[in-house]
Amino acid sequence: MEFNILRFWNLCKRDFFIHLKSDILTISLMGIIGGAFASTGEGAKQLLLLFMFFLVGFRIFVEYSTKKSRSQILLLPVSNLERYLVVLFRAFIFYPLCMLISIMAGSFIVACLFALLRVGVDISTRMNDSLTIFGTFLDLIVKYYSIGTIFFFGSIFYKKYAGLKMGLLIFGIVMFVAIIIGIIFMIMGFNNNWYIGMNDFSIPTYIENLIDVGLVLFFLGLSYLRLTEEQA
Amino acid sequence: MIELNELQFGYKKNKFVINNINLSIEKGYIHGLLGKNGTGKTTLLKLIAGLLFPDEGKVEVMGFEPQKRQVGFLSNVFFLPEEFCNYKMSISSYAITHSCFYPKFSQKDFISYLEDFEITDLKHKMDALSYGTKKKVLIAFGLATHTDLIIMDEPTNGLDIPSKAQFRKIILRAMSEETTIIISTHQVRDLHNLIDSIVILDEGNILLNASNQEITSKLYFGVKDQDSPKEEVLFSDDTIRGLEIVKENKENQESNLDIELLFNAVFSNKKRIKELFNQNNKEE
Repeated sequence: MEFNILRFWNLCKRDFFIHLKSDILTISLMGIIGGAFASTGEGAKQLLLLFMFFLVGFRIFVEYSTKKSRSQILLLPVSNLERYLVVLFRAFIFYPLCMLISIMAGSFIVACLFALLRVGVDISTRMNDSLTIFGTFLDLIVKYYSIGTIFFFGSIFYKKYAGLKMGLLIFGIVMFVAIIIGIIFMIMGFNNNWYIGMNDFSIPTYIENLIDVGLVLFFLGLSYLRLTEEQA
Repeated sequence: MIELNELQFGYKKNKFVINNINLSIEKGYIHGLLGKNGTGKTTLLKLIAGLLFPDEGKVEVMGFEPQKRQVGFLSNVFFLPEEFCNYKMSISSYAITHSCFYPKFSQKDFISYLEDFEITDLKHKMDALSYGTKKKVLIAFGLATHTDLIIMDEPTNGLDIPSKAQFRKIILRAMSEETTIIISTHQVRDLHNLIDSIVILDEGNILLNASNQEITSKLYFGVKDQDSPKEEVLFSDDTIRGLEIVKENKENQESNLDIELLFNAVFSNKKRIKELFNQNNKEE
């Protein structure tokens, strides 16, 4: 595994220039949607985060999605590890950070606009609200990093409509697991009230964390292997 | 420089596009890879560049295994594909963001090659350029990287007639003892007076692999005289210059290689050409 910081930096710069226009568009869109919905309840925030994952799923390996662009990136004199780390950096540091800033700015602008229309602007309160939203989303992103890695893997695994396909796949898996658990609880004697059993059942936090770390490592590792096997 | 051993590749199982190829390509020459459409030229180039992985056999380029995509290998190879993606950036931005990966890149040469192609404004957006102009930019960039191996897939497709002549001049100017260029094309006339050796592919197999010198020592290209015995002619073409022929060069006559005649002769006498060149290789 070869790694050179200068090549990595050059690849980051190239990536930034190539995706500049579409990134600005995506991040602005996040800002607008975020601004409109960020100050609503927890459910809406989670939905917004899911939307972010969709975007990551659709866009992050976009250069690997067609033969033409794939042959350009695969033949660039950088190592597979550098290629991979650049995408990882974009997906899990650059994008979330830009989106957080964009949502914060969007929610601040929207809040200011609403306040202006009603009673007038209290900038410091709006600023504090936006910082709270930033914090909440940061917590959510950290909490759902493992889900993000599934979309990340899906983005390189599926060449077209990666986000949508992974979304449907995750939904399918969740439904399947829920049905299996439901059947197990029914067999265990909870009969029609199996969901009561579900409520009583809890996984210890350390096992949850272990599963989370395991999922992250598994999907990131799988994504790397997939990238090394890419052909054009 | 390039060694292919019992190479097999197919896009579908048990249907090989490249079928058990053994090939050795020497350093410091311009090699022409010829063949009809769909005979596996692009596939072979992609296998050499490491874009595709062999199903069986081995590819070795400059001591590297291309499929490993090591930096040492990739920084010494430039591959110009037939179709390329549109970068939404100017020519100068493209050069800045991509040249840093090639240690021997020369900005001066890049500008000079572009000028030869009559491209002077580097502020033009790449995605707004015509297919031919984009190709010229990439050819200029590829040659300016000064990599040891330059692979070009159908480089003259989309170039106008003056640009094709310019292309030949630029290629010759960019050649050095360290440089090896492989040009794949089905437009054989475009390589006239440019290449040093020829590889002809047919249905995933190599029909001919020989240097120009070897070809002209074994085959004679010329206009038919009255006393040429009919059975010696491998291929003839009725043109305004007369009946142009390819025949076995039994009398060691000197002649100039005509790639188009050679191409047609090879395809109309596959067996005899194979015998002729294999026999010669064995004698050597």
